Amino acid sequence: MSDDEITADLQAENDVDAEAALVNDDEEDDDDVEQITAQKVLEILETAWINEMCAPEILPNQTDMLELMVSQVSHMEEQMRDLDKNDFRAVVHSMELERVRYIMASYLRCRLQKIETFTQHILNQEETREPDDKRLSPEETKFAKEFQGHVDEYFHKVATQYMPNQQRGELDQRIVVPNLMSHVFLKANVAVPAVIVGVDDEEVDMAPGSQHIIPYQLVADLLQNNQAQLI
Amino acid sequence: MDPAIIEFIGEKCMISIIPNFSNEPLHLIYGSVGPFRAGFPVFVPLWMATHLRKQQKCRIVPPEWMDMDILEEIKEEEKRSKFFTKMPSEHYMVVAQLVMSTAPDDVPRCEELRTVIKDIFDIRESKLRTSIDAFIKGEGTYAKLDNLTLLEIHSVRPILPYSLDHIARYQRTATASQRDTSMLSASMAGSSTGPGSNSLFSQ
Repeated sequence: MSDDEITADLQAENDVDAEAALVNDDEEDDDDVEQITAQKVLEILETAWINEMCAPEILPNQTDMLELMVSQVSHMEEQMRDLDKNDFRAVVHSMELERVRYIMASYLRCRLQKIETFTQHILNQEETREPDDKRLSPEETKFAKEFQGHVDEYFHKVATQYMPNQQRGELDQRIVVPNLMSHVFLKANVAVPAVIVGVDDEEVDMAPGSQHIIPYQLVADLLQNNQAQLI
Repeated sequence: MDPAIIEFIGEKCMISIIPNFSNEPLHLIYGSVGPFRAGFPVFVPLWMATHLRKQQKCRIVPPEWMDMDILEEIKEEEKRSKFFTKMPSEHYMVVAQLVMSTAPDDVPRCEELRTVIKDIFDIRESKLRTSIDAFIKGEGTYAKLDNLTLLEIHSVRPILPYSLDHIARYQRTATASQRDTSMLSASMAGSSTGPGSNSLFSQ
């Protein structure tokens, strides 16, 4: 490969960051995504990943961000195809892409685990939510429903059909529910005044960057508003 | 969370290296690094530094705080203070471990540094254990943990939240059964579960 080509490649790579984020823009209705850079997307995904790992319940999905990142990754891989495998740049870029892919995979895997554990509970909750408010992506919903179907069918085949009638159909009692009062480690991103921290309505003011251990339910809304993150 | 994940997160820290090659800046998703000029220091993420060091393509410049005098001072301060002092890096253990294992030759007085960093960690760990003991006996449900690093939090992660969860569950059960026996006592029990907040961990 000539030197000129390498420079051209690099030039193209320079533009990747800004461009790829705009690729999906035409398909999006809202303008929030317009200005976002790949770096910002990665930060959002990282925070979502760590929050998801630490939170007892399933959090809102990040499909938009994931799609942006997936297209960014494949775009960069496309451009790297022509680079020599031992080229310094190729090695470093592919190392970073591996890291990004790990975050995305680990994030999705973590969500699937929660879906498998709390299937019925999550599906029930999703039904009560408005279409804009859904926490699962359409694919995850499909997975949850099919998983639920298979588990039910399996239990029916191996066990429940041989049981007396009154012991079947106790669906409500079989639901596994996450313990929302379980304790989590939290870091405040901004100053949050008057957070209720105890059973007797005791309040504290959280300074930016301060860390706390606290029952999840008391701070769940801070996570949604991005005022704090789990650690 | 796995310790490997803590390391993964810590590897994002920036560290200075002196490359022995030259190259244009690299535009990573995480941000741009470079340009690389042989012999001139440049900041790169830790994961890249360890990789380049293994390939013999650079020397790692230890962070400023990786210095005997500074660390001895931190250690003394940590001993004196009742609370946790602020560490020079959010991931000091991860950084120290990675730098010293990949590039022991780049760090002057490496072995001594290793010992003093371990000492600091041990002092903090034992302080953490004492505070947790007092915290749980005080029946709190909330505490401030300022200045603790991720690895230190992780070292108590399985046991502390779980035991607090269990205590909370017993308290709820106790409240519920009290309510069953007498309506009168229930109204009082509802407002007497634990003294609540506790801020043993910070000043």
